[in-house]
Amino acid sequence: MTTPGVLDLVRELTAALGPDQVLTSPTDRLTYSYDATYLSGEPDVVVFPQSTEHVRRVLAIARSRRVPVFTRGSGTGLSGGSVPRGGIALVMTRMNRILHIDRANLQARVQAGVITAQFQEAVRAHGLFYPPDPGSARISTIGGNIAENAGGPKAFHYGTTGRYVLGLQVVLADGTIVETGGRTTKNVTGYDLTGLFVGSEGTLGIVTEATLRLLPPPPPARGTLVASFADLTALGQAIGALAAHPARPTSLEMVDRHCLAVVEAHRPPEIPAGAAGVLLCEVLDWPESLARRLRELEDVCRAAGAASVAGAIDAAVQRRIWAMREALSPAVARIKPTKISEDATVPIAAIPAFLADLERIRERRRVDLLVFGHAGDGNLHPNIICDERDADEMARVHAAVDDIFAAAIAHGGTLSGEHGIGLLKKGYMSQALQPAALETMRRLKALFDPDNLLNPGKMFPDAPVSDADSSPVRQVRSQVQSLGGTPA
Amino acid sequence: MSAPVPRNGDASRHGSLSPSLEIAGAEASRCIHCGFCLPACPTYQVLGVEKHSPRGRIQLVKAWSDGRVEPDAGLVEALDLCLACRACETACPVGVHYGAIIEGARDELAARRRGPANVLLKWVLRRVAAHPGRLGAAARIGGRLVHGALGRRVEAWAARRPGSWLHAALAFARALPSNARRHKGPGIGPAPEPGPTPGTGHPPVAPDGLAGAPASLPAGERPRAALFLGCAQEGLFPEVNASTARLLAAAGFTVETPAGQCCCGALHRHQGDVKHARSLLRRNLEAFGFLGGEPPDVVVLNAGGCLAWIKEAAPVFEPGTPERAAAEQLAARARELSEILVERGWQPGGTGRSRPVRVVYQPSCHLTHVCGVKDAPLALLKALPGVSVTLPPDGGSCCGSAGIYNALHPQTSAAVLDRKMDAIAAGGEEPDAIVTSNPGCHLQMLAGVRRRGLAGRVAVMQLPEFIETYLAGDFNPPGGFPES
Repeated sequence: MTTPGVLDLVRELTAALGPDQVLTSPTDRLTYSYDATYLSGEPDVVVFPQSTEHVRRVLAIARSRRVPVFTRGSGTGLSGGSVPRGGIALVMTRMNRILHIDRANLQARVQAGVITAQFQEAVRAHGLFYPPDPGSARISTIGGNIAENAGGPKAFHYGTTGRYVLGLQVVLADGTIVETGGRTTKNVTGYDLTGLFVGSEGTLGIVTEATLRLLPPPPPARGTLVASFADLTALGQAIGALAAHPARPTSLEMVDRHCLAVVEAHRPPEIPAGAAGVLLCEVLDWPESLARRLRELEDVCRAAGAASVAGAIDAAVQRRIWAMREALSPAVARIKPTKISEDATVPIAAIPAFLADLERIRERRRVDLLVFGHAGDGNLHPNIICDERDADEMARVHAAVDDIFAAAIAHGGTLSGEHGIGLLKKGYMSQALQPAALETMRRLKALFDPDNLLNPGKMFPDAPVSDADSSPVRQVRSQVQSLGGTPA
Repeated sequence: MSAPVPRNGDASRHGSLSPSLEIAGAEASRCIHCGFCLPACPTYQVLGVEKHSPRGRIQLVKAWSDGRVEPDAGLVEALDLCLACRACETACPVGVHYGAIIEGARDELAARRRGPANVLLKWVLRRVAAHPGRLGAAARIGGRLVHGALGRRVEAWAARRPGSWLHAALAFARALPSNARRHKGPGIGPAPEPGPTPGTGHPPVAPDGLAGAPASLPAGERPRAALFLGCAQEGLFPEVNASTARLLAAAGFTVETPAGQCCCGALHRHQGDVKHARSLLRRNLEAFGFLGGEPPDVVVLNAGGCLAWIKEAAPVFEPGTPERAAAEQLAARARELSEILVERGWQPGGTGRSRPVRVVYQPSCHLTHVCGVKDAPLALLKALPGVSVTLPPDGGSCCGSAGIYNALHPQTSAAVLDRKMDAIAAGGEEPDAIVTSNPGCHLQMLAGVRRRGLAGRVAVMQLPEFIETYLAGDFNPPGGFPES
């Protein structure tokens, strides 16, 4: 495993970063080989930069040796976006300082490895609010959230991570350190470089610091509405009606009956047994208007054909309801050990038809397909629960995934709302994008990373792993199997 | 589609002890590596690398059982440095039984281990630690050695040889309280007189439902409660057992302390000595009347670590054997003191202290994550007039004691302890007392208080002794009562 090329690489990295920041043991390479998908691939070496200068040095070494660099935070991604294939795993978790929280200007500056929930807490202590709330917020890093443009339930009202990024510090493949954006909430001084790096999955540059926009906390009263439906068509129509109503909720989530079966033991009493699906609406408002707004939303749900609607203003009851929703994503894996999480997203008016398609795909492909997600954004999470050791089942799963993307695209939707493309979805890119759009993306990639060293093999359907493929470093076992193996 | 795996408190999870790597690997393959366990893991928080996280260890065990990696030094270190606090099980949304994974893998490692340090460790656990009298004596002798001039010289020598048996032995000695009282023999002396049956019109609080707990204790009469003394508890903190007995009596139980009972075997089992753990369990089954005797209505423990093992121990016996059935019955009747008191509608008696006392409750990890007893100890403390109680801001994660982890891995244990003491300090005003629910945690928190120079200001006690002392009006915070 230790070719001379790797030994020299490790020696150089150790000289640049210090011995404690460079790991090469088999156990360390294995434990930095995966994310939260079922994909894995071992790096040759794992490094932990502690400063932007460290990142610059790592890139200089990588460039001179033509070694690919796979940047990651806590490894909670759902697209295989941070999974290495040999090369350097650049782990950002030790760049975890909150540099300052600027209350007067409603903004903060952080290093990329800050844990999202820790940042939210620090901000709250200053009487401020950072809305993005991905399900993995207690684990994931701000840098990872930026790289995938992470969402969450609050994205329905507040938008995804990108909306809160005012500026970035990025190290480019050639070692340039770029400051993008600025400290203002409005900024059209030149191209929107900040927006370019948001959601770029570590393929264009390495985000080391970010200036984040903060909000005042939302109104203090919280209410939750639980609406149960006997059929998914009515549920789908209710989503559109709720999103268009002046009382529009802050979060609008859905859970189908297959998910409810998994968490049956933890099903809150507000959700009646036997529903085809439920909508969960969160409302943040002033105490005197909370009841009124819940009542309006209740009327909307009833008019759309809800079988039952229950409002909750008790904190403990609401905590129970949302805890069930938060635990759902990983909890569905209780059924079987392999979880394929998709996040196909459609325009909201297409939700009823898309839900019907998903039900048909479940039947036709005989797969454990269940659906939950951020309904208000049309961002559904069709999850297929399977066992990767069962070849026959996996063939059906692959066919079902093909069907899901074909259906989403047919409804005017897209491959991913918030998880990113990574390895899992790259095979579908040419279906989802107009050729000229894909070509423009390729030209951008070639401009920023001409040697294809930054997270190679991701996002583009036929991306070569790297020019560095022929170097000794690349002559290592690669365990990456690609589900998205559909030919481009 | 199989039913969801039940979490804490279901009997089935106690029925699948897996000694082999194969079973560990099978359980490991249920992990979807979502990472939800990372924030819950004290060693990941302290060491900051993935192989010291539950997710990392699970993937390593899976790779080992698949034959993809060898148990090299890195893998052994990763498995050794796990505290086995099992906070990751509570955090896991999938319901992976991490305990089965780490124990199965460690059994495999233990079977391969040789060398004087391991022989010594096994000998110490079997011949010293499992005997309250000898443990107390070892604590006094070891304490003198460690704290004396000779000890300092020996220690300096051993410090340059981490991993040596002498280093391990000294660390073990250092972990014991040098002021351990001389042990006066088995039991806790004469059984205390039962007090009046409680229930001053207050309905009993609903039990928080451990696996197989008796549906309800016999009401109206005096149920028989057999007190499980434990080795570390009885050897180092006999006063905790004495308090437990008196509290049970006051709650209307007929308290028995069966003769012939011995160490529960948890420490042996966690070090891979299943054989000895099994023989200790058999002796206890006989002593408590579960094998050819008259078993009590309830077996009461005050140490979270012992209770967790008793709850999970039955599978060391083959299914269908009388021992297996007896061990399952013991598991069903074993309860923690605070659960029992809450269930019996216990109300604080005594004179009480009305002046405010600040208490930080540092729970036993196994009591929380394996037994699912979270609320009852807090409920008892909250019921004391004048006591305000909080968990440390870290939610009460592991203190780094973890059985004999503090002796085997003093550096990591100290790092975990420092994090704990930082959390307690971050909780605001300095507490008057840190209350725990396990002798190992008690020792570790004593060490933490010493490390921070808080000795003489912050008392460290276990729950039963604190309750009794406080209610008797004898709890005098070392720093004096704060002005109210």
